[in-house]
Amino acid sequence: MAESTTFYCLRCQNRFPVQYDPKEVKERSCPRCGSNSVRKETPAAAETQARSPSVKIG
Amino acid sequence: MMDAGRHPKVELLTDSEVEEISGFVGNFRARIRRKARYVDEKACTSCGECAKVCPVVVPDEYQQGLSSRRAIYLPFPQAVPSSYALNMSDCLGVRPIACGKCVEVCDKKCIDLDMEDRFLDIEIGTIVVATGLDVYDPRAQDEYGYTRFENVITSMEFERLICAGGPTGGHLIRPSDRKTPKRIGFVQCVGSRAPARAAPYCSNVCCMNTVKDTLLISEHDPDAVSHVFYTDMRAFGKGFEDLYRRSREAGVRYVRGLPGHVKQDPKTGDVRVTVENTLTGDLERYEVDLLVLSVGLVPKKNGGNKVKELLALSSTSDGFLLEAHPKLKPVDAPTRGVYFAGCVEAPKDVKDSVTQASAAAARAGALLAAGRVKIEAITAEIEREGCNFCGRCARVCPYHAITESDKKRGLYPVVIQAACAGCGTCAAECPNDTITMRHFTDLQLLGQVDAILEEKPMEKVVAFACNWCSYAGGDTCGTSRLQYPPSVRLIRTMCSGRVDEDFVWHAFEKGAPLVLVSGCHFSDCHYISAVTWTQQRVEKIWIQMEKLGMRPERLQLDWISAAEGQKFARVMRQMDELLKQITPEEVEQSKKAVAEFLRQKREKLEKRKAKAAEGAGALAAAALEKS
Ligand code: SF4
Ligand SMILES: [Zn+2]
Repeated sequence: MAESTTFYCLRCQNRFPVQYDPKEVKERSCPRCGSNSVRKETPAAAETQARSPSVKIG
Repeated sequence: MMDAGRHPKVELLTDSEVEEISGFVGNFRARIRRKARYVDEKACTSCGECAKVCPVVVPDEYQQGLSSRRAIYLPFPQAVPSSYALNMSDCLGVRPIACGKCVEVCDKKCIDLDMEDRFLDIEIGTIVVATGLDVYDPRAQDEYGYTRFENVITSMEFERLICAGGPTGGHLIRPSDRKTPKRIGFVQCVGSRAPARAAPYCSNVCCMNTVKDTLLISEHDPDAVSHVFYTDMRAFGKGFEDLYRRSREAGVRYVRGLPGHVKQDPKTGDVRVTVENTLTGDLERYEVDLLVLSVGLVPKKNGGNKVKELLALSSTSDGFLLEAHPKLKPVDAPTRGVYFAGCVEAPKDVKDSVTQASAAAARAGALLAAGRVKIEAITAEIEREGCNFCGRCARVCPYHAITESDKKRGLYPVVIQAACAGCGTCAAECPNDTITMRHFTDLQLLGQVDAILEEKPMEKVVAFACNWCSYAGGDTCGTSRLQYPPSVRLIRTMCSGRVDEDFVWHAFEKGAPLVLVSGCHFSDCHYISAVTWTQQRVEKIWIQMEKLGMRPERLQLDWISAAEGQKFARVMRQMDELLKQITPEEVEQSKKAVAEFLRQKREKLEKRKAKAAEGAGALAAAALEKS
């Protein structure tokens, strides 16, 4: 079942909601910069983000 | 059909079902169930005496249920073979025989009620899948009142009513009172272009079918008036615009808007249609004698999925079968030696179906005439040593080119060379590194990583690019004279699926500040679904990077098509910008962390390999003992 989840972009650090079904592997892109380096935001991901200065485009 | 039936080199197996298919291009084996027909098709002369005495009356499917047939019947006038068939689910019963009248009257004695299904095993070189489609059931769109109102019919039913071979001999009548309708309405896009309620796609044929029907009506009865309620008329084929113009000139009224409300007058049987005319913005009411719902085309339900499973085919999100490549191989299935014809691949009209069928026959014929297939030079090879029968390779191969392994029986997985397309996904996914990709070996690719990072690694981006899309996108970028920074160094693989996670780790271990994995967009993947494994692998690496205290941003992913030269240049500029934000300190730190991680990984791999070798030794000993 798809549910609304927050994804974030590893290029511009944009956070955005997506309908996410873990069983479904599909192409995703960042609505702001168009990059495909996007992933689900997990507590671990958020922690790493907070710990380090993020590389960022735009 | 008759020509095919008469052709000395065509064997038509009607009323048959494919039960099993195995093998690969040039060497398929199929098991076919030939359903019992209960009539000897060679002896039957279609005299029809049997049907005359059969007491069972059921709706005739061919005539859309508008007339009836018997339990023993000729499916339709031009049926090949021209022989009667007994539908056992309609018959009163044969065990014990409940009626048997047909047997009694058949002079030729061609009815055999004891007939049983037979199985046929055949060897075939190529396969053309032409299993067709179904039509949309408009009951789901209840506002049109199909089946609630007698005078609301589908375009398929209309087809039978106006056909000379139909139940009324081509005399158009309406179901409620058998009167000839003078005012006919057509509703377009029933079941099509409605993502929320039915199919999201355009069914391709309905507009022109309606245009043709309106012309037929005006030929049958010049006084009849047709109204077509549409979203927009699509007449893009050869001669179609002309047909559409002729229909308008014949007085057919085209109303832009779909009915919101349909009701049949219980006394007169007339159908009242309320529609918002989107050209004028007015709410208009029409009264017609007969309303025809132009139903869309949907993927075949019965049988369609079975064929898909048997041939390991995939389908697009709309349910039609996925071709190997939408532009370069539009009639080929991703499984080599399998081709598509007709609506199994997408909704299409007769002309397009014939064109595709001819192309499929030519593709299959060329392959058969050659008598051998050219296989890829770049294929995978599995070394038994180290294989622990995990089965991952067979699971990930998009072509089902790897045989299933079985530890108990000592069956190692084997790559069927004729079926392997060379994506390299298996080699990248094998946890024991026992798969070698010819011409794109680990050694070759790691060597390129080493060469890139040998000097001034902090100024380099290691970018893996797939041959067909992102690398070709780089070519487009170059031929368009677009510039991209020299810091990006490309390593070509056939598919991004080949990019083993070890390549990425190796690059980080050697001091790469930034790695990019790029490949085709999912819909363009040259290797069916290999790109999906790339994405999953990269996601896995991101998680591991976090565990090692690395910023996942240092591994980037992008899908770039061959036509996206501008995107290629933009992504590479972004890589250069990202590169400048990575510090030598963090690279040094991660080098150590990755080196330790890889050391542990290698240790585990060695242990697994040693265990696998032990297992292999035991298997060999058991086999020796058995022999
Ligand atoms: S290289 Fe690709 S196509 Fe060939 S066996 Fe491996 S996964 Fe299958
Ligand atoms: Zn972004």
